[in-house]
Amino acid sequence: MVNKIISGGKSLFLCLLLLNSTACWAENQTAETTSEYQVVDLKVLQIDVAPLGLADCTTTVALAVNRVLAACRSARTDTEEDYGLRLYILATDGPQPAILSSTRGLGDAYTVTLQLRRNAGGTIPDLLLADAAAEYAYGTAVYHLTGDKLVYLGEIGYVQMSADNNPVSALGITRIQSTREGFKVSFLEKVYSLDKSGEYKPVDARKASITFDGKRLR
Amino acid sequence: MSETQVTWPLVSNVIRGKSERNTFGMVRKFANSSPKPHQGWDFSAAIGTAVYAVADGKVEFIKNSGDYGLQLCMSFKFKGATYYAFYAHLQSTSVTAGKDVALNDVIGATGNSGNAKNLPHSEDHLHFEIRTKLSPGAGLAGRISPLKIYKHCPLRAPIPG
Repeated sequence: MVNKIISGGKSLFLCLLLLNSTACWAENQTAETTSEYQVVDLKVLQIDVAPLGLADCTTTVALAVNRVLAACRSARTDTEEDYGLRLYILATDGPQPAILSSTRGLGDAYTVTLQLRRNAGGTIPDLLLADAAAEYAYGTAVYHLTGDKLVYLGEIGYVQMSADNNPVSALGITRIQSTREGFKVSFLEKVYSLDKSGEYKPVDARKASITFDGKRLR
Repeated sequence: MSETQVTWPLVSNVIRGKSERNTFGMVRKFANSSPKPHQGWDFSAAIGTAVYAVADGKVEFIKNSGDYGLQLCMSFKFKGATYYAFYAHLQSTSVTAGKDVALNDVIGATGNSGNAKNLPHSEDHLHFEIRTKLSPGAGLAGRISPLKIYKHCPLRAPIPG
């Protein structure tokens, strides 16, 4: 309850059984009652991934004991529809590293920056954010890190704008909080969204939230 | 600035990977195949390939920053309008901002600066845009397809410059 942010809404009755009597009280809250995800520092590692058929890694970090997270390319697995940088979870406890799981390709992104955010008490405790860019920031792919797998949840398409009008990462102003069903993404400042014509429009921070309801990020 | 002839930025010009994803428009894909804009044409070019002025014109700016890396922008006239040829991911430039350049002057060399350094060398390229504004907006804003100037996209076979 310590991190709980209370906002107006329906009442929830919490009861405490004290001795032989029951004390109950009402607490205002909504479905968006949350606690915040925190960034987890990931130590950068050097690891030879060539024996695995991987190359051109933009990131290799320690994820846990004997587990490495890597963003690399593999010509072996690319297809016309599924290509580009992929995220790999590697086991490093054997004589040679081994691929435990991989994601779909991140398409035409030239590079990806990875950030792990954790909320131990959340419905989805570990979120991996893959912030991608080519000539400009593409946005952030969001994955649920569960065991040795990454489950794609959706994309945060919002970006910030540089002084010379180039989309740049919004990760630094991105806030993620748990909800009962999943999590809510919000922003500390104005962000920009891409429209269908390929141009970016400003969106007030108060209107730019995205919610994962257990099924979709939208 | 006089009305000028326009030529190609490289001696040999072919779209990187012969892929439509490296042409202009909403042709790029991100995770889950969501479309993203590509603001110009990517021409395959080994690092150090000479880059040419596409017309008589003026170097408007040279800067090295962000995901584009080393960039050069030159203005030129075409059919009565002013356009800006924008070259990015360069290794070097051999002209200075504010100076006039002539058609086919060498103005620099291709590289993999900016975010292109993260691509395999087989993907080394010149990022080339045609802008309608010196300081365009983000995405496709303030840019046109180079096809409107060149009338042909070298998607399958190289075109000599």
